[in-house]
Amino acid sequence: MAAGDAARSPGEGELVVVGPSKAVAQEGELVYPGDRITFGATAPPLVMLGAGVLREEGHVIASKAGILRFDAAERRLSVEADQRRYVPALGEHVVGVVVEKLSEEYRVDLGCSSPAALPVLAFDGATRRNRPNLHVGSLVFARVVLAHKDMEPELSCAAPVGVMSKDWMTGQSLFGELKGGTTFRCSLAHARSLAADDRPGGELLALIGEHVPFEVAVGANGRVWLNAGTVAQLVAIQTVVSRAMDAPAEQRARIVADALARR
Amino acid sequence: MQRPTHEIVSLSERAFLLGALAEGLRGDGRGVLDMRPVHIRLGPSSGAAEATLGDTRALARVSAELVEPFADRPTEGSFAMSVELSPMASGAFEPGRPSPEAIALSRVVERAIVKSNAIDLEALCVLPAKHVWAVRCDVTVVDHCGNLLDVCALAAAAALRHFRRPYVRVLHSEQGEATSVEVCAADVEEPEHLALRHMPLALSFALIAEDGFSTPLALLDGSEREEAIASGSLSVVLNQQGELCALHKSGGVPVGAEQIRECVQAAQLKFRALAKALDEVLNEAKKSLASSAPPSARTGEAATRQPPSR
Repeated sequence: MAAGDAARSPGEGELVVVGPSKAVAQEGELVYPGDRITFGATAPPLVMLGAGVLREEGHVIASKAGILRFDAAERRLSVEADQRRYVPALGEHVVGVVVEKLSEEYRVDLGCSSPAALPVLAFDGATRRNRPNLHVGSLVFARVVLAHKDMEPELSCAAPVGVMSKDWMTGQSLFGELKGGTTFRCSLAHARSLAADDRPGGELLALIGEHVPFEVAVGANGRVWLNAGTVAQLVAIQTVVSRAMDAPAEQRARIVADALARR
Repeated sequence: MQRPTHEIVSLSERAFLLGALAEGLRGDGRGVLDMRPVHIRLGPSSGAAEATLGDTRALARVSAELVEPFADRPTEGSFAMSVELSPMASGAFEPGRPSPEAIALSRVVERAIVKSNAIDLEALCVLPAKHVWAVRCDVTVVDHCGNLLDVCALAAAAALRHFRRPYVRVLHSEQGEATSVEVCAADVEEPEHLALRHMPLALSFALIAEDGFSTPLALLDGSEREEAIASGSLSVVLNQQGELCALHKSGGVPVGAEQIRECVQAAQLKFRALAKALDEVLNEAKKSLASSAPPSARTGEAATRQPPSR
């Protein structure tokens, strides 16, 4: 950071990092653990704390080294780093496997340190009598509604505020059981880039869609669910995604075309 | 040995993998007898090696120390293996004491090397009944994506063939009796390779037995997902001469003699590529060692002392 930047006063609502490593940093820049993150002069009060940030003594600080991100639509603040171990963060969409079925909740494996709880009624339109019946081994797409470092994470399949809620019976709800298809694992960074259309790597799913129709659910926990018409198509899509993610951006279209043109 | 080493497999994924196998496809696009890409890296110091098979990765480290031999075998050194499954490798591995899986892995690799007499234990004797070399090989699995046995055996083989122990000079008394030994530093005397008669490598098959299959389907180099749905595994340990050094089958699924023979034959065909990859890396290391070795008075002599490494 140049000295001039440190002297510059932050604009309204602008994200500012005050910390040992930097005077002022903006969204998309590198932060280090311990850096304090604040908003500019007129601070918008409400933000969601995503991965890699935590609140300590009234300040928001970065808990790991990575790129600072602020999702303006969801008002979520997070620090992104390349890792494979998932640490649940509020509001993230995840793909999990039911490992245990209890009377009040399902226990779901997300690949994090402890299984997450999914209450049996946490589906839109679910009642005691009429609710989805998941089995051990079922896949679910859900969002994290409780993430605390000392507590078990909690999930919900109900639509969040701002998303039209559809009854789970219709099979058209955003979250819920994922039937058929398959999953594969990737690093958290890869999962993030697959899910974001405006980031490098985000165009990959669209490229594949030009050749083969398929369904996809990308979990922030590095699990990606795919479904397509035939098993052969699924195998091809899965292989091409893992191969193309590591390839330079300009080669992706060719890799996808080569692998899927025959399907 | 199979289940607890894997993360849970969803019902959809199991159905997908089995459905794909019914069409002759594997989940990652390989054929039934295709291995994942092999990569071996040696160094930086002697006896350190890293082997990868696809995304499965293991590090091996060979070390040797001078110890007193067992009283009943005064002229034999010893060899021991240990495998550590690091929690970094998979969420299914716990830190702490070695798990039964880790112990089973190290036993299979150790037995394959020791029982096939790959290491000349008598050549590890320096002074009978007094000083012998105790060689040990520590393997750490750092990334678990299936088929740990083959990767551990490959890393161990690479490290053992790369390892050079210090040269030891035996000091004699005036009467000509050997009295004590002196371990020479690498810049004084050229270190020596281990005396290896051959070096076995493992090739494993994941055995998938489902209602639809008449005999279990043997998949070479099973991925982590395939192993998680497998009913057992069959490991074939071979050496460069194509000889069978060990056969290890785990899991309760019955396998007929005919199928075992087919697996061994398939493994013999695939073995060549694996052994070639290892030989190339070792030759490369030998060349760079020869070019970078500091000129020493005894270098020429040391080179002739080296046992022929086969």
